[in-house]
Amino acid sequence: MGKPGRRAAVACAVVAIACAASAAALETGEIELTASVRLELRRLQDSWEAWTRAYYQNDQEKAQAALAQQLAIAENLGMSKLPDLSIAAAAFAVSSASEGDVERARWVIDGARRLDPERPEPAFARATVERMAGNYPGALVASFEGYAKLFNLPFEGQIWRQNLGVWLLYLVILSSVVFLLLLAVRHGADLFHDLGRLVSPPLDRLAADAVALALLLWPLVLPSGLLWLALYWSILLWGYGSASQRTVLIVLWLALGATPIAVTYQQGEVQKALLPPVRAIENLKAGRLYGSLLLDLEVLRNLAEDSTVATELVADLHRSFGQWEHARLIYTGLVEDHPGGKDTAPALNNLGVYYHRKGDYGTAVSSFQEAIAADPTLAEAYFNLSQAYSQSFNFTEAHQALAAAKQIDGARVALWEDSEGGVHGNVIPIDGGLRRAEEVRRALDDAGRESALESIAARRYLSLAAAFAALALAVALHLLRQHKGYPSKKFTGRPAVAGSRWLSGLVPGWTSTFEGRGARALLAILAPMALALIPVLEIWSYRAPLGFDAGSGLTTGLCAAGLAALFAFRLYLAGRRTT
Amino acid sequence: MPTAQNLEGDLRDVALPQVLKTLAVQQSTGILTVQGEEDIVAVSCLNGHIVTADSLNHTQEESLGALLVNEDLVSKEALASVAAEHQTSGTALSDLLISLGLITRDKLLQCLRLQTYRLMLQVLTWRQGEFRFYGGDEVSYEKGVTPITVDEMLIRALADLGEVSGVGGEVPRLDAIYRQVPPRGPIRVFRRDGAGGPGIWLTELQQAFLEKMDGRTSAYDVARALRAGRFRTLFSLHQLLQNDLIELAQAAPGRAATARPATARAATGGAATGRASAGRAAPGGGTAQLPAVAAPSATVPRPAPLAPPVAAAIPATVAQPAPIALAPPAPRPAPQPASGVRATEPRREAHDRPVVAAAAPGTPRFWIGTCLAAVLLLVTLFALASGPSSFLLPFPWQRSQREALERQIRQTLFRKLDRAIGTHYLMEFQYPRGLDDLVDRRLLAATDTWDAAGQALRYVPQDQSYLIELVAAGRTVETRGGSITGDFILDRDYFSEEVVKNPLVLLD
Repeated sequence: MGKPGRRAAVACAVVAIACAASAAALETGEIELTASVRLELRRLQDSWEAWTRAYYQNDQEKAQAALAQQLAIAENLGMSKLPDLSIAAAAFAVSSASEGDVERARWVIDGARRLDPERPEPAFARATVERMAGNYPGALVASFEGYAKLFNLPFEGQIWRQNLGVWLLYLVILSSVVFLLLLAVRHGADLFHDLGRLVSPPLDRLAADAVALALLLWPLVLPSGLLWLALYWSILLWGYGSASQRTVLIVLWLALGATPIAVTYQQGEVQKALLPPVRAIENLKAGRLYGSLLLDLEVLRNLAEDSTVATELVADLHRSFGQWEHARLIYTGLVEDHPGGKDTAPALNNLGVYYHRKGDYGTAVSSFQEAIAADPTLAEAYFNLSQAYSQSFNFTEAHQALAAAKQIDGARVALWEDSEGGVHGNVIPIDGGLRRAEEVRRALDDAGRESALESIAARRYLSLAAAFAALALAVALHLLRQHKGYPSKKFTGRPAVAGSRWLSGLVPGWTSTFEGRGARALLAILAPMALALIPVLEIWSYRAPLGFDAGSGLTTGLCAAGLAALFAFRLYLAGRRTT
Repeated sequence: MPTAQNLEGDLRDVALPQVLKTLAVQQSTGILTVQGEEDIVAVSCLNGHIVTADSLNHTQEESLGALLVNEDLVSKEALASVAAEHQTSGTALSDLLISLGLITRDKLLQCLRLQTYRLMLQVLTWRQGEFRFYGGDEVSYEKGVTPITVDEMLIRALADLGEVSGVGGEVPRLDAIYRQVPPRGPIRVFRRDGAGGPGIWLTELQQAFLEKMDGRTSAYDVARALRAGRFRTLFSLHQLLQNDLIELAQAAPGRAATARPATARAATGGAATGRASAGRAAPGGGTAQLPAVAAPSATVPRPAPLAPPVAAAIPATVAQPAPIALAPPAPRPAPQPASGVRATEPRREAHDRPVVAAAAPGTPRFWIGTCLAAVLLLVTLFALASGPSSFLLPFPWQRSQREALERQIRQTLFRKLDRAIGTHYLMEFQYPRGLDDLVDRRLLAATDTWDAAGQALRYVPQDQSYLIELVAAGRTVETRGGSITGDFILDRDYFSEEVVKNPLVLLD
């Protein structure tokens, strides 16, 4: 299958399988688990039950023992964090605090932190608990800690970054609307009178006003009339503004025109982040064992059936779980399907590790040598080769291989040497699938983006064309009217400010608009708008799937305080200006 | 000592600077009318500061127009156009100037202040005429104008007009060093030592300056130590020099001393003013002439100490033998103390409206613009109410992208709900009964129970799974299912019983 054809197929698969996986309707029998792994996972369930019992009995000792067992199970499976349990423990802590048992809540949160130190939920739970206990500084610190962790999470952080983009778009567009509102207040009467004057010689005043009103409101009869009305007025008002106000309007038209392109980009990013395989890759990289990991990997395997990376990723998982036989079969298949390829080097290395663990040092040496032949930059393969030679009493070759490994990456080799007994018997496996995860992500990204943009490929540029059309129309109209004259603009000079201290202080951009300072007016509008939009962003944009509600109190409070300070300062400045 | 509330007299007896000093010391509020041979000027004072001055013969608008042209702020042609518009529409000239963008409000306020100052300069040259002060609680003046203190007025007048100003003496130098001279009589401080009696009357600031004049410290340094402004400092020094309380110890290096020894100044300054030389025993600058102000006023019926309502005050004043025509048969009435009007409120006369742009609140132009803005605001609110995505992607051809965005936002919401339901299952080993359970446990925010467009989500728990439905207008728009099946942490049935219950046991 050619590349375009494969891409199209992958694109269809992304959508179809991701939806299916989201509905959690997939059978999970594809990724086989050995009885011991199943037993370990079952023990994890039992251990969680034990922890919940200890929680209800308020038995901290038993709870800690259960928690230690959970972490040990995760370690046995090659993982280090249990995010689901961490989130649930954090929720338990808040329940406990709600019942008035703050002490229990605190040790439960400590446990939640141990289960996954990088998740923000325990920090947010801590903030809630401390707030309930009246320790507001502690709550504030914990909240900030939670947000810091949130931004560092791959998926949630990505959602927040995209939300930042959405916030920027809303900010620009809403601010431009307010800018236009102020322009209408400043020049609306001029526009109205000038339109009336166009027909005032034959018509009397009342009729002329009626015509002016009709000329202003006619876009309402069009489909999506309200939008056209706003755009039409911005074009009409453009000629009345100062140079900077006109510049700002042009920038705003272009921003409106570019918004669909920006939104399209964001949709692609979010779609990619939402895909279960991406979630699986990110969690595997971070060593997180979460409940739907196998489901997500199954989606990946189905999605990228031909992908060696996806296959290798599954093999890595088997190896991580200790299912070496399953892993060996897959690694062998990969090597046989792609003989001599550079990408097979990690698989060959891991096969060497397998044989080394079995005590078959001869086969292990062969595998390591093949890995080195496929990719001579693999320090792990050289190091493992030296270990295999040592076990075979070929110390000269062992020294040579070790020297070669140190030459490639001395620091890491020193770490391997210092590690007690090494990994899996002094030999180092390679997460080849994870190393190449970026390839999977790119493939999913391309596929996802193509599918997302399929229906809007060309139309997204129409808005940009509309923006340029608005600009051209405004300039043409302005030139025409300049020739005919702006009756309300027969006097030239610097515009002056209108209104009281309260208007100047409480309406951002008011003074600057009347003074004809476009950029300054826009900046004055942007600042409060930026603060006001933050609290509503959680509703209008993507929801970060946190396992625990961080609450909007802190952000709302900070934004409210910021707005109050801003407007107080504006009133102060306005007062100074008027006195 | 007369109070400023009923101050009146003849300029031949009391020079206008002395009158102004009295008003300043007593921090009087009201209108001082000065009737000269050719004109009548009304000076509005607020707390002893001059806030505006109007001439009977020259309207404020005429003077303002001339000033603007002279200062090159407005061209003659533009002013003529505005004046014509002013004549036809009746709109205040200042309003027109601002609304048409010919001048900013700040600049206009500066011009009004300059206009007041120039008119005051003119009045200070008058040697004949009568004055009368109408006290009040408030005066009307242009909001935003920086008042001219009497200190500034007199010092600047002295600098600009010299002896003609009637202020007497010369402008002291800030960089000179002065020393004290033994006083010729007891020094008394206004307010601290009462308000009348013999002696040299000083203000507290002047007293402070006097104490600091040690023959070593420059006037500038003393002013800095006392945190006094330039005009207050110069005026204080001027008064001390006039009263022969200090003399020049050392002129500024490299400069000729402007202030002269007290003896010389007494001869020249006193002669120049004709009145100031005698004024050493009165408060507010130490002029002995101030009692003379009280003398004629004792024979002339005065208005009530606090200005009565304007309508009542004017006839009483006009009826005097030497009337101060506050309401002459001129096109406009002379300004009066507006006891019923707040100082911050503009006057109601057409020529004296507040200086604001034509689109200011309350004007028809403002309301037209505001109505148009209100329409735009409605458009915005409508767009936001119909879904925020339609605000980002408003064009008709963006419908599919808009729907895709909404779907994607909902997808993240569903993901969040899945996680919350899963966490609840971990806690209770069962699905929640409703979304409220999740909100109560803080697994969800209340805002997570509806989507961005405000459509409610309905949660339907089942045995091994659950459904989330998006409901709009009572109709299910979208349904999404979820289950714990396949989740090896939540699903207790994930592992076959035989493997778990009968694990292989290895024996040695």
